[in-house]
Amino acid sequence: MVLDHQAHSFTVVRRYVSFLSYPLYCVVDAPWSLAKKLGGYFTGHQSLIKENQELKQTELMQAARLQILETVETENARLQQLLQAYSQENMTFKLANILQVDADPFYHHVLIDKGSNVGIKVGQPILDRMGIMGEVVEVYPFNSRVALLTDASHAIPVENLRNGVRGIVVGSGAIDRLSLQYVPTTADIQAGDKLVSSGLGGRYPHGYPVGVVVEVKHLGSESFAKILVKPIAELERGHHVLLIDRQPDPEISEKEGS
Amino acid sequence: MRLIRGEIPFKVLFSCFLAWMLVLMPLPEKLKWIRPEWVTLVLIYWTFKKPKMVGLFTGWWVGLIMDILQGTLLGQHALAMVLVVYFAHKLHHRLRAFTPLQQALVVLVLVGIGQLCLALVQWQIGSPPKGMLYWGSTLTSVLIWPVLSHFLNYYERKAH
Repeated sequence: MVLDHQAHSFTVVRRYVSFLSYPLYCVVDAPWSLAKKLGGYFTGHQSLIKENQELKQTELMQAARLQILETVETENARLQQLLQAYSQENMTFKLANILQVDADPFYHHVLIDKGSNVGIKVGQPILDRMGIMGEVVEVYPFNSRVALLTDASHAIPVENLRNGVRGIVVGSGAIDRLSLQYVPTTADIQAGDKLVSSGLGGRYPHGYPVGVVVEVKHLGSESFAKILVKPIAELERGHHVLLIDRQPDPEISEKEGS
Repeated sequence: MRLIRGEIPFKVLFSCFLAWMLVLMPLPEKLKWIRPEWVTLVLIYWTFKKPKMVGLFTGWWVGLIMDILQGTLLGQHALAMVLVVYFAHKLHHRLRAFTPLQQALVVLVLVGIGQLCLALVQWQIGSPPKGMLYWGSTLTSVLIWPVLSHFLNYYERKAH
């Protein structure tokens, strides 16, 4: 046990034995995925038409916003070049499903249905449609285990979208709560502020939504404020997730190499 | 060394399999902490019923597989199961003379020992259980015990 905790010396053993647990995961997950498939099969014609219309509308609106985004992106790149800042990295996305399988309640982990067979690596960030969910902590042949933001051992560097104040968001062990730590009492943080990943540390990409500040408590005696944050991603319900694969920018690796 | 036996009969394995599935079954966040300890209960039942077949060896392997399924530290559940099986083994002679209520008390103590062991390990690695809710699963385990033991009893007789 000590070896596993301190030295992770059983990672390989785990990986291969987990191969055997794959069928068990499938069996437990089967009723849920089957119910979903059947649900899709029996959805009425009317509701499908309605859903299609709604999707078309949102697509149109998003396309309109994308048009301006492209301009902004090129402008941004030009400005960054002027400032000689690093350019954005190349990122590719992979789609995965969350398996309906529970982990130990001590850990806020979920299992996804992609593993080393499609090239998932430890440390890859996971997104859902709202924001960052967590990162891959263990990879098996056909599954991987993802630690959610709320896991008590998880932390992510963030910045305030409003004014760029930096801090670290740490999991609390409760599914709907995070805490923003290491922010001095004098820093300008208010309830309702949006926090995005700051990209420091290089594990998470810069600029993805993490949470919204719910409450700021100033305790007289302490030098750091106590700040409660609500995660933006749908940690309890999300079903489809995106894995980010980051190719290091050739320019950056060149600069780092020299 | 009568405690350590190598053969695990099919019935034990099958009920453990069902218990593992119940452990992995998705539950809403609030109910997760009071999920009965299915695997511990099944092991206790078989230790009482077939003390010559189910021993520390079985307990160890069942716990280890549980660790792999749940992604906990390898050996965490194994240690807890071995302890539970050991004490269950010590008590199984006396158990025949016990009333159902006394039996339930014994199960309460046994599951409690297992949970305490898990909590100690968690505390050692720096994420101790928060609040009293953690012990809720021990209570629900005892409440479900009469039903489970009746069911397993029925299953065992059917399978003969």
